[in-house]
Amino acid sequence: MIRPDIKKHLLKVQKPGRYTGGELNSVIKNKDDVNIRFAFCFPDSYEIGMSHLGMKILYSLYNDVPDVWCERVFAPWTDMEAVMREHSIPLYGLESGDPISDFDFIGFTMQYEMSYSNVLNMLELGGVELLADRRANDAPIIVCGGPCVCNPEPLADFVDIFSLGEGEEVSIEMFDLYRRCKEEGFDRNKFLRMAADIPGLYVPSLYDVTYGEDGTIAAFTPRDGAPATIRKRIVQDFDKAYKLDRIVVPQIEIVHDRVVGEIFRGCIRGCRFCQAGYIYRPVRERKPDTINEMCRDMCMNTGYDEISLSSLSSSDYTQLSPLLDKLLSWTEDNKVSISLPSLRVDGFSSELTEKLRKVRKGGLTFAPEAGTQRLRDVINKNVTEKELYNTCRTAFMGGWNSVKLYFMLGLPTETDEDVQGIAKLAQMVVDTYYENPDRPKGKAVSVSASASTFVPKPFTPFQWEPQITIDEIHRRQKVLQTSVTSRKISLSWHDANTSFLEAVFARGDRRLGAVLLRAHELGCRFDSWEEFFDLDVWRKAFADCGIDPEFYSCRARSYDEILPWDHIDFGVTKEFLIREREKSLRAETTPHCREKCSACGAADLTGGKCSVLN
Amino acid sequence: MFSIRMFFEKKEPAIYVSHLDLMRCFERCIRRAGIPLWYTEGFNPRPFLTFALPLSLGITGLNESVDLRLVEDMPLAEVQQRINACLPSGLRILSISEPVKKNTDIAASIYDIDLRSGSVNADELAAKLSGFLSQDSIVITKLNKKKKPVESDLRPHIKAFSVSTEDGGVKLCITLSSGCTENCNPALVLDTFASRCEIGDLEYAITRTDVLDTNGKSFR
Repeated sequence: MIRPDIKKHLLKVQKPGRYTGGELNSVIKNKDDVNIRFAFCFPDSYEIGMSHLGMKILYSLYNDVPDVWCERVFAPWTDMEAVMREHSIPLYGLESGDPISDFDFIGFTMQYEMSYSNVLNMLELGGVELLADRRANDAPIIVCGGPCVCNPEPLADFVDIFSLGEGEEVSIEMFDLYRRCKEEGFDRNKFLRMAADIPGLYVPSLYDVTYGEDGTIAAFTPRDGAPATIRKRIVQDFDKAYKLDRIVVPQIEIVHDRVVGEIFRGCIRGCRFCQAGYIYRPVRERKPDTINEMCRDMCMNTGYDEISLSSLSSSDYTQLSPLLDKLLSWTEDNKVSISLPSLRVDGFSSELTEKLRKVRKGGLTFAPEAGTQRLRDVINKNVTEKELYNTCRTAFMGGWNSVKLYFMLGLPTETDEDVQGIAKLAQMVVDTYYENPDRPKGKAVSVSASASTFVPKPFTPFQWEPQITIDEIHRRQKVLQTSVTSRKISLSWHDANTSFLEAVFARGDRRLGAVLLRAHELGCRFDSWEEFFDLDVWRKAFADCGIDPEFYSCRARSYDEILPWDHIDFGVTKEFLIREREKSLRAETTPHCREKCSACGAADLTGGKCSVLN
Repeated sequence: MFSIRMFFEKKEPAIYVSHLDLMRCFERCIRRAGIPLWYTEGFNPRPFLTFALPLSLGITGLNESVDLRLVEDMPLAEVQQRINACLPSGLRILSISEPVKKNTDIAASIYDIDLRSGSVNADELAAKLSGFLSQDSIVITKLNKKKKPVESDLRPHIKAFSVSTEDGGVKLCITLSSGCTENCNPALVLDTFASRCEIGDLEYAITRTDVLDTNGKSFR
């Protein structure tokens, strides 16, 4: 429903379709018939948030509960924010138009650290008290989930409950508890204390943190009998997990404007820099029939003509070929195309190309991550130059003429030789193209190499590693730039300042709450957008709070330091991560889960039985 | 292959859907409705949909049209009913028929416009508007495609108009040239009026009520 007070402003802002609601498959309920109203917030623009699969799943799952009404909320773009502030229009749910302060729960999904400032800005726009300990008894409960909350501490001042891991089951348990507490006369503190007993829910206000003289954590103490460690939740049987059959179809074009079929969760690979590879363990696959049915239903119910198969590494899906056959049996006639992102260099076969060729041709992206074999061994990216060569050869013979390559700068033990190796590898791909005698005449190859900066993340073997300084990032970017000699190679990289701040918050502790609050007061928001991000403002916020950001980003930790996320249990054990780190320093690789179990500990989440080994 | 022309209305909240997004929206709705649509036969097959006259963002349309081609026969009433069941709120197919005129035969559009200003009362606003539109010429400076300023006269595009007052506001009914050769956006006329007559707080809501062919008849 369009709020009457925004109508006259809608034509003055960019893309008014972001703010109107009323999209196909959005869920409208009668608010008198519901007990729980949930404002599902994505702390970024509509186009980004509407592309996020997790939100689509939970939106449908929540709304399937008869007395729960879940609405969507996105960060208004700065032009709309100005209008809302000028005319005192509160941030509202797109379905009802009601202010988010009227809701029982306000949930945020935290997908990247650079969206933290938007959480504060959105709460403020919604007229919600920012600090959790100052919220009134009947104020909305602020819940946060998503990968970032595997280290929830930087957000602890603002959030009532963190939901760790997969939200499908635990949210429903939280709603049940809330309903019971509401019937008995709602007492916020009592509810929060009881929520802490639900596995997977972490209530930060029930824990005290003290710091030693060197600035590291001295002790982390639960109060009031709250559990000492909080373990993430997962869906045990992913094939039987909630099946999406429809998604909201936006009126304006969004970033990923298509149906998404989730084929499995977790990853067998164990690339040592990759947080997702560890925090989503163990691997659980969905059956081809289930995926096929879901994709078909979603296409029928939305009218989309494109399906993207989603996972952390699509070619590791054991049933990929049968799945593609099932999908192609109806997609071809219906002019539906299939795209397969996250293909590994070693998983690209000509059979696969043939199947994907039947539909529209998409781009090809591979992620060798590092320029030399030594460094690829350090990070356990088990891909060889030969494999990349073969893959590109196959792709070029299959008619492709552009390839995107992803790399990282600043990985542990990286030398200038490794950086120059990136240029060499990209050049090898260019040369491979011209080796093909059947290449289309008059068409040049284009290889784009993108180099991001390595950010050490919690729950990876590199969680103790320092990030290189901003100056050093710039120097290595220069080294890379000067080593590229072909005009067929286009280079791009992530902004070093962004990666630095990301590193600070990824491994930050509770003391960063004050910095976030200060940065918010200074006007920080949309930090993942280059046009708005300003590190100088953040530096001022750090200075005002007397906090040194380099303490978090550039400092090497020792194994015995209490890390801010040590009370959080994501399955993988510290012992395993230490083993992996030690191996990385010796440039020793670890075989993937199907070759050999490395006893990461995640099998404990599924009762000791890891589905990979079945 | 069968060509059909669908007449539809575009009202709130769909008026906030841009023309490009509207095309995507129709594509999906028609797919959802299971209409046997004809696809272009290039490298990148697209459903064949042609809108006679794009409607600017924010304008309500009461008699818009879009042409499409079907690969197999289907009763037009069924096509209409199926698509209407799939359209989002604000969009509705009013009728479907075989195309009579070509899209190039479109010559003009009729707009109903409600105007309001906090600083100028309705009678004064109506008088100013009539005076503005009755001038012999309304020359404005526009940027051409090469971003060079060029002069252009709006007056020849104004085929007819009438101004009245009602409910404390002003109602303008205006016929402006439309089509692929000559086209005049009503918002441009109103914005020029607001700046020439110095009405900083002019608010307006535009409705395109009909589209006319070269004979001055409703486009069919």
